[in-house]
Amino acid sequence: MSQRYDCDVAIIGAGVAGALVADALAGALSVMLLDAGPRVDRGEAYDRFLQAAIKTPQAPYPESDLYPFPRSEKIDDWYVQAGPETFAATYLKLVGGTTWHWLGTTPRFVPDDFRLQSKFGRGLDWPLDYAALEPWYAKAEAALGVAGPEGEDPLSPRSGPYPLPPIPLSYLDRQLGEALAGTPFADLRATPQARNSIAYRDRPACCGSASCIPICPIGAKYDAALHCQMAEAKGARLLDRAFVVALESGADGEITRAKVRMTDGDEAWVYAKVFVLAAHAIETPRLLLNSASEAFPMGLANSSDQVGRNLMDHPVQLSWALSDAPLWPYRGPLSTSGIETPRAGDFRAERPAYRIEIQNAGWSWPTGAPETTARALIAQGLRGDALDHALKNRSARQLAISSLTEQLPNPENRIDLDPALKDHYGVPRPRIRYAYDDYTQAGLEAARAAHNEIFRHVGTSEINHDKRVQSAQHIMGTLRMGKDPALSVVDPDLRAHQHRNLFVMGSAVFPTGAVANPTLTIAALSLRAVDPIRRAASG
Amino acid sequence: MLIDSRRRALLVGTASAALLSLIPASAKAATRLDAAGFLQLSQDLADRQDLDPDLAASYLAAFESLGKGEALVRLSTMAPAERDSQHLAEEIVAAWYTGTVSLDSGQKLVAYEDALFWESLDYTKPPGICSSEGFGSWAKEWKP
Repeated sequence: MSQRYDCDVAIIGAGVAGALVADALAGALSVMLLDAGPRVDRGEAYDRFLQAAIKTPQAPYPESDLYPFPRSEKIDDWYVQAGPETFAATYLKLVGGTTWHWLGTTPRFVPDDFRLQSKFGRGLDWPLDYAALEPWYAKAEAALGVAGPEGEDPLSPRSGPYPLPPIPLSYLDRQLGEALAGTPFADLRATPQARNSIAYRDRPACCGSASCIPICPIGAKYDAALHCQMAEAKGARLLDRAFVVALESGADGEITRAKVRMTDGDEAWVYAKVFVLAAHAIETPRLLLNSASEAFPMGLANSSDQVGRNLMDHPVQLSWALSDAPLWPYRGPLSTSGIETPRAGDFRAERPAYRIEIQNAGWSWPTGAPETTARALIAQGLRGDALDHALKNRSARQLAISSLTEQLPNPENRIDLDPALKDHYGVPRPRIRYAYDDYTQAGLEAARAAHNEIFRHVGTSEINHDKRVQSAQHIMGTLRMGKDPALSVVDPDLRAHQHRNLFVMGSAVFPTGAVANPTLTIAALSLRAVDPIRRAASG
Repeated sequence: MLIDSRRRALLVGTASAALLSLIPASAKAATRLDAAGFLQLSQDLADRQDLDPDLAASYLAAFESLGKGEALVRLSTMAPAERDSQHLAEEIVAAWYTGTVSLDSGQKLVAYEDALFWESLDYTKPPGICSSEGFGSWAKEWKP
């Protein structure tokens, strides 16, 4: 059977971008929020996490062909990898989106991130600057509940303090900070993070569960299910398990309706004055490409041929070493500090900015410790008290640091529709072409050198640099924002150049990716787009 | 390896390989190590006497479900020198410490909070469990 829904604004994707927009518009306008995935019960998800033999980022969340998303241990089951590199960044299809298993790190961009081309001759400039976004960063920090250090931020000027006091540095952070005093890496500081340091908006302070990824057991870390609930309380209608297969438009470009397949087999049509796509940087271009019609044979919003191109991540150099002194890791949020200095400087003409993240979770990311530590010591023949002592001694000294590097937009790095393989609904699976350029490689090399320096100052042995390029799980760039309709998909208000009543939210619109974790900038851009969306729905 | 020689002797004395070899193969296949036997085997292999009997039953069931029932019986009858060098012997110890039985035939989580390595890492607790000291506990140096 086929159900018809009518609303002012239909938002597709109930992650952080869609939820914030829904919350801002609900009440004054009739709002529908659709997500391909189900609602999440935190308790059930937590139980699945406890019972999972391998605790991947996706372990707490249900797996179904009805709402497929990439799972770390079998990523090619969803992505069709066209090479040369494997694209390993994942996302969730759930009400609340990928914020269910994000780390919660919320740095702002730095002003130069918006003018990479004019300042350094690389990539391209954003169509707006830091000053234009600053008030929206402040609103986004209030919405997500960001805890951050007091005083001026040396890189990203602030109009006011963070809404919450800082999350304390870990003991490990402080030991590194002391060891790095007087070095180029001395500015180790508390990371701004959407994690409660005090009770804030009905959520408790962090309890140090050390499981931000894959799930916060108590909701101290922000997730977008919160703004979904707030939007519903104001009258927004949330439809979960509702996969939008395609959008339809008139020949004039006006989007008329969305074709929806429900996981129970039903079909639905959603009619709206305005459509907001917020399904993240793989699914949104996939939907636009799958909506090709006679009037729009390249897909919707794609006269520039930029839909799906310029796919970016933050390629990560991960390094680890054994500290001479115990640092007592495996405690607290997975990261509480970073070294931000390498995010800015004239070197960006030659090599990328990078952001050093100090890991609190020992070697769990690089090696799967402490499980693997136990197995290795057992294989060496240790038993009884000797094993206990060695396990404690070794795990207490495990140190890992990671650097997120900037990856330039490259039109050949792209997601498109696989010509052969389809999902349960007959929609082509995402095919991904992905490569690293010399600029990125130079950034990874610089990060390795920095990590070596840090390890030397801290006093370590057994230094390792991951030979694989790790993913920061930050999918960006596939629906770039710009002023020129010939070169970009959406304008600075995030409205599609070609479609008056179609808006796109999320990191897909980033012209360049910088090295800041993207969620806060996603949130700021989304809040900034609320007024233009409201005007479009009222006009 | 630090296995108590008296217990080795006891194990060999109670279930000798020589005795078992007299039993026909079909009967041998039906033989099953009981939970108490698995507990004793585990304590000998891990060199600790404080293993939990209920968990022993769960680990035994996990190994059996992954097709290691007969291999456990054989292992329990081996002389310590031979037994301790078996891969399965190492896996039993690793299972108790990590809480997970991990074999070519599959992987099964048996215990999470009760995995023994969290006892060794007594300065912390498993991910997902709130710190007993709550907010900010990670800022302190750990002291026993």
